[in-house]
Amino acid sequence: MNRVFDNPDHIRKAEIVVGIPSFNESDSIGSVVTCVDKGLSRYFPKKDAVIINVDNNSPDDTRRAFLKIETRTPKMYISTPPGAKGKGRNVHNLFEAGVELGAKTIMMVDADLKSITPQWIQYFAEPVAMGNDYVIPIYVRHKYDGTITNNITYPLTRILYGLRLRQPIAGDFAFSGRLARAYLTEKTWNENIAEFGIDIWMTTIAIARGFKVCQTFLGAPKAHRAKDPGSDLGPMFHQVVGTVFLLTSEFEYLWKDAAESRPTNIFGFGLGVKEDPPVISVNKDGLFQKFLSGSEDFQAEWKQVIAPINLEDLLHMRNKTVEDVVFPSDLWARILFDFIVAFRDEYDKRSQLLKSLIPIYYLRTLGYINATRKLDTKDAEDFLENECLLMESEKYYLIAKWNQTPRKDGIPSIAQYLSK
Amino acid sequence: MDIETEEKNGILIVRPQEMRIDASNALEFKAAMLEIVGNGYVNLVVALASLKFIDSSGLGVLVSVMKTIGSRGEIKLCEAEGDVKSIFELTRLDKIFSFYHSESEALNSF
Repeated sequence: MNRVFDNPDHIRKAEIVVGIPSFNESDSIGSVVTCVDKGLSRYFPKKDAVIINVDNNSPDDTRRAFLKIETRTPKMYISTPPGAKGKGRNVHNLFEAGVELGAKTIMMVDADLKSITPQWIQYFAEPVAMGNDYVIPIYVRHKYDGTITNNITYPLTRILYGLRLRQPIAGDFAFSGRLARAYLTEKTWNENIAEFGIDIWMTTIAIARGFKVCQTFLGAPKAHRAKDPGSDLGPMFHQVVGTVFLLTSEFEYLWKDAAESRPTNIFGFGLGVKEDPPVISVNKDGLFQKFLSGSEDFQAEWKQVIAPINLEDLLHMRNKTVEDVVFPSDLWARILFDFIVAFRDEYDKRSQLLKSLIPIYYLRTLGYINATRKLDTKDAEDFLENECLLMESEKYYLIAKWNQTPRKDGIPSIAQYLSK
Repeated sequence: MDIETEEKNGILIVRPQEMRIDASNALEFKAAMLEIVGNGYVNLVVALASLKFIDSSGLGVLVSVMKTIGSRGEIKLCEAEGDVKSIFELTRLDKIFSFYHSESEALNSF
């Protein structure tokens, strides 16, 4: 990849690298850089460190905004070539830079963060120094923020790989140089990952390839550009969920043997966090309407993918009112599993399959909002934990369906093989 | 769906007469089982002797019935053989359900 490169301080090596992926973040990147610089100066004054803006050649001149900020820590700017976009491509540049600089610890923080504090640097870097390869944050979020996380990536990571990582697509991580080298040679890299699929890919690869994973408590509620969960998902849903489904095929040999999930080590404590996370407003009518119109538009896909026993219960929900919608977790799990198996076999229809899942995801989101409407942040977390346990208890369905559904690639299922 | 039932000491023996329970008849199986539970039977022995194949949907019905019964009673399985027993083992549902060789063994375990 032909990178655009600025290295005004002629940095050749660094023990700690902090990367800030961006696209058109000239307005927000300044405060993040200042905070990172304070953190590095305060907590790691004797370490060689560098702050790198990994950018998509932003037309708003994020590069200039980044380089003009005065910092004690040296800075570098790396951009993908003009026309090449995607967070994943920026993060790939960060992997390369981290490895080339010989970094032992690499961090990445989103450029739109409003809640980052200098202490984040300490909380991310220390667990790596203590021997962990992948450090993933825990922070307080509004109960309606991160609905893809709450309903898909968090429960599926638990179900498939047996690890409870609360924010598997947090966007902010730390990892060892050893893991960065592994990412660079990873065979599962693809175009979805080069964009929004990067976060779940990094998390899954770290788990699946046997690296040491932990969580770190960052305390303050995450504040960034949060969105109404019913607003347009754009390509994000396709890329994140598509990556999860794709990696499910890749790591079949792992998840079939993973039993109940277990907690992950956590660094730091949640004591003293009293702030409420920023409130997210939701359009519940919009969520329900999108489900109703989806049930018309995707009738054929749903009938093909979803087992009749699940489809009947799903379609029953068309008769509910917005306020009465409750989406049972066991049903949601089985429908996700129906889609995972279909995704494995329908190479040519994968995009359409994911599109047809979105209205069901909206209904699940509505059900979650209804179920937690009277709960505060902590009680909503307890509720979600219980929902995840219910979803885990449906894993038998995925294993059975995965084994019993004839594969279209010509490889017989285990059931077919055994019956010969 | 053809299902035989027989009550013994308040326990209902349920004998599906089908060779397969799969996506094509799981809805009927579910309706029949939920009707049984709805009629107040919460201690069940499901005899799987006739069954040669059960898929994810069929398993889903049994798990769903078990969850519906909850702590009010128990569902026990017997006479599972071959591929049917294997799929319970593969999915680890053999750790969730109690299995017995015969109906009488299952009945005596209550």
